[in-house]
Amino acid sequence: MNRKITAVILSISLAIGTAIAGSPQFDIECGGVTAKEGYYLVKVWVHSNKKAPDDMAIREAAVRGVLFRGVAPAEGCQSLRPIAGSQTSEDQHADYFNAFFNTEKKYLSYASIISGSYETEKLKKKSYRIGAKVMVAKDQLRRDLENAGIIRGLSTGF
Amino acid sequence: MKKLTLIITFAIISASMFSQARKPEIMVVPSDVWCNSKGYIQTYDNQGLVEQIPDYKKAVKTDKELSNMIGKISNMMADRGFPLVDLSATISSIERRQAEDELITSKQGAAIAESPLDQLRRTAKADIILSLDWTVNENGPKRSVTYNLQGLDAYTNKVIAGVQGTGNPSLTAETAVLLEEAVVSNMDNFTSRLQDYFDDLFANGREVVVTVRVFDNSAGIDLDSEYDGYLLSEIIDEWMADNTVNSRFGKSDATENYINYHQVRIPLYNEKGRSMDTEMFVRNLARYLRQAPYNIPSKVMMRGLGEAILILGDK
Repeated sequence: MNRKITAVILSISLAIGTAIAGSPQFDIECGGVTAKEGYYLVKVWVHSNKKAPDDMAIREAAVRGVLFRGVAPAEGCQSLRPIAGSQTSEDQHADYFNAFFNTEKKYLSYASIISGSYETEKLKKKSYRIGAKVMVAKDQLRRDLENAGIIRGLSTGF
Repeated sequence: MKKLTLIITFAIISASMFSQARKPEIMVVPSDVWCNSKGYIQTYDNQGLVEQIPDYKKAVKTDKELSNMIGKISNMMADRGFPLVDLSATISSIERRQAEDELITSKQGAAIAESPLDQLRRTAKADIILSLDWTVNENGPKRSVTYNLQGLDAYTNKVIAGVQGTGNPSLTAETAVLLEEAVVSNMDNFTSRLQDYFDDLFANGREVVVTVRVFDNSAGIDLDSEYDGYLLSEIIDEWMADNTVNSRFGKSDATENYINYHQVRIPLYNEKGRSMDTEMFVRNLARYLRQAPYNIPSKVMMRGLGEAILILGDK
């Protein structure tokens, strides 16, 4: 009985912890070379316990990846450095990014999923890896973060 | 009261304006390798030695791919707040100067000797040169582009940022599209590395080379001359330590006749908030040595943007 209660408490705490942390578990790689200026084409893989794709989670993962993680090389393109430097930048500007990703969901305006690009892989029971290609408006994203004082512009200080 | 507020506001605005470092000038030029492979080469007589150098004028005027690539990079850098110095305009400016120099020559009878590369650097005064190079690879019907962009600090000739790689082979895409893809997909990584360089510049100052020499004359001064029990070379070392950012400088070689300082990190701006360059930095040293108890006259000469030579003992 005690074991059951402990297991339930652990599961609840884990669920709460994940909800607080907010960010989806994901992988990000280049989705192909594009001559479209101002955009990155990325492929995002989001881990989920549901088979149906969660568009918001995919778009959030794409923006998070471009901002804090960088994009792994694939499809003939090179790796891309993260726009905001690293994950520590999110902690340094916690208020801004909390509004950006959670309360105001501003990230949605920078990412759009390429229709028909969904892929689903079943990893194990009730565990899926859902992929999609996402176009991220990285120039606009960078400009807005520079204007908000979150990142330094190339000409900052001159 | 209003007047006082106005004066204070003006003072704050002026101070903030002057405390900004000068924005580095950047210029894109095709690499020597690219010019050579395309035949954009000219020869010139360097005091009896025939040398081959890139013919930028011919390249800019005749190569459409080059002007497209430079245009694309210029637009992308302008978007990031860095309008580039235009190579084509710089070449026109050089031609104008050359015409003026020829007039000077005919009046005074002495030629003004300067290599075409020196002319380019002097006229453009670019702090950073972006050296661009690409090759179109053909494998059967497929074509791909190998692209190489290197940022060189014109002061030290060190590579400060670079991107290179080969794009995906394509059966259908035109060369212009492949080249555009190469620029677009590589530019962010390039500017990101450039940002690292600028961050280092702000934190540690600009890297230059300073050489101190002694005139071989009857003044009797050399770097082993003593002042208050200290050798002149020690006094100069002390000045360098006091005036470089975090006392960062290296000494590669020294005798009683010369000292070669390298990796000298000079501040981006002086105590008045004005932009500092190598010449200004070394002139400050010359001014210091001109004062008592040293009273040493000297001459400052520039070699490129990033090297100044201070010659002690005469003007």
